[in-house]
Amino acid sequence: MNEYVAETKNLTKYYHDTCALNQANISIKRGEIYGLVGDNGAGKSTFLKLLSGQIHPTSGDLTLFGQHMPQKLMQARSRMGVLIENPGFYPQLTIEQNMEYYRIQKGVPGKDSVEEALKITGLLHIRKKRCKGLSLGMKQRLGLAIALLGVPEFLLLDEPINGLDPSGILEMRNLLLKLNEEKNITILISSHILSELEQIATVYGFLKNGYLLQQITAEQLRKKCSDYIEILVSDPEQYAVLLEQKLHHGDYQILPDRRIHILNADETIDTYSRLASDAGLQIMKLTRYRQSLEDYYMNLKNGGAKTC
Amino acid sequence: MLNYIKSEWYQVLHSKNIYIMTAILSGGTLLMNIILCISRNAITDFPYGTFRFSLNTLTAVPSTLIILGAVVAACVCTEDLKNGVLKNAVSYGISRPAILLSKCIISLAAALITMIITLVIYIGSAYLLLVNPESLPLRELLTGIGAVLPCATAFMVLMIVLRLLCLKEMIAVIWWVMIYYLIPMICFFVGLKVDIFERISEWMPYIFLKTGVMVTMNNYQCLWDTSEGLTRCIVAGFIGIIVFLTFGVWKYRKQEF
Repeated sequence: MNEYVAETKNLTKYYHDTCALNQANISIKRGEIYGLVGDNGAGKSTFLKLLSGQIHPTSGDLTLFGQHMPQKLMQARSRMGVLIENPGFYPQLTIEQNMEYYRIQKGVPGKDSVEEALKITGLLHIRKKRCKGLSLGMKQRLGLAIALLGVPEFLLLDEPINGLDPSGILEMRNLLLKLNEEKNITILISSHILSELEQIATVYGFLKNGYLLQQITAEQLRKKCSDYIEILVSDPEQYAVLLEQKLHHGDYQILPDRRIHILNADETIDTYSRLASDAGLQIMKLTRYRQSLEDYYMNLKNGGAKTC
Repeated sequence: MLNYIKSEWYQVLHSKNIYIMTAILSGGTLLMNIILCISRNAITDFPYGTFRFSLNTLTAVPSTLIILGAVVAACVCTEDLKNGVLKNAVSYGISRPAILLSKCIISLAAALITMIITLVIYIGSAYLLLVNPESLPLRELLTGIGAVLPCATAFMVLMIVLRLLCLKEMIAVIWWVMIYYLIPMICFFVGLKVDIFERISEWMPYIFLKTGVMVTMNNYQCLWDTSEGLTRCIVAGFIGIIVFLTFGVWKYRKQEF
């Protein structure tokens, strides 16, 4: 069995003269929850659409479940569940009829699968309702139910919590975690709400203006975003020298107003405090901070990640 | 592809469009025969209250079938495009040519069923309500329908291709009208001066159905009564199907959602 469900090599997409995705090399391992992070127009939806075959790449290679030939790629896509942008369904049909339509289309045996998907997404009690009158949140749920039909191995979700109320967001988060843990479904999810992504993703891909800035596991990110210490010291330059000489720690930033940020700070606060007092430096403030995914992303986006 | 055809058929059967369409067409023909019947009873010497007149109305204008076929095709495709259903089909590994071919098959099946139901009501109501001649002009009508069917299928395929390629319904309709009506008319008029255009226009359904069919109360002359005319109808239809389908597959392969 192939370790990767999706791999891209130099995947590029141009819309006329506009580059939506530029030579992206992204690998998604089986069992991962891959969080795609980026601003509007960063290339998230373009990447998802390329994976799902909704658009064609300008250049580069795409492999799904180890397959990269066009015909095999299409077969591989039958193992995927997709919810990109607006969920597609017939408004004049009921929820159940729409599900049945997709069940037949996907060749999923047994009508139980429709019921199961509706149950998972909390739509079972309104299955006879016409889709025309559904709220945005309900439409999103239906889109997810369609994507879940037949228990796909790889789920592509573009902003799936759009339109959901707080309890809906919580349910969606728990559902995705459950699907990943219990059914080993690999999930690729893009979201603007980074705090939500932070709670479920095991790997992150950061996109900016069509470029993949970084691909990093949640574990690596946790280390990178681990506590940093801000010290307000009488002589930051001398303190930096001490950091390098005595603690062999070169990962720091000297900031205006005599502040210094010690990144990846593994030592205790006492150690950093003693380092200053032993050298006769005066510490006015010493605080440990934790960087959120949002902070990390903003730093990365603005070019500050190299020091992180 | 088979699963996609099945799912599309499920959708067609569970949507209102095709039922409304069939009801309108059947109701229209029934209404026409009722009006003819009432007029026959109300007006002395009313000459049109006959079975022959009613059926000849369709026989005389065979292009009706072509237009109605295109309308059915547009009905079948409309909802998909409005609601982004097609992108899901592509995402689940159904190729674009398979989608196009499936749409053609489903539209053809839906149109044939609509046509059969409408014809049964049309002929049945005419038979029951109007004056029947000694010889019923059924053979002429059915031969005409059979002869026009390949052309109707071709222009149905064209409508599906255009609907799938054009984002706006109106643009697709304008293109369809141009290809079915405007270009043949231009060829016809240029053909009055240039021979090659005359020969080309002779193979265009709008022209040969307009010039080759003459049906009145007492006169019946249709091009499909000669083997040459029938061949022209069938060959032009199949050429149309192949050309429009090939063009559709070629263009739709590149379609993005």
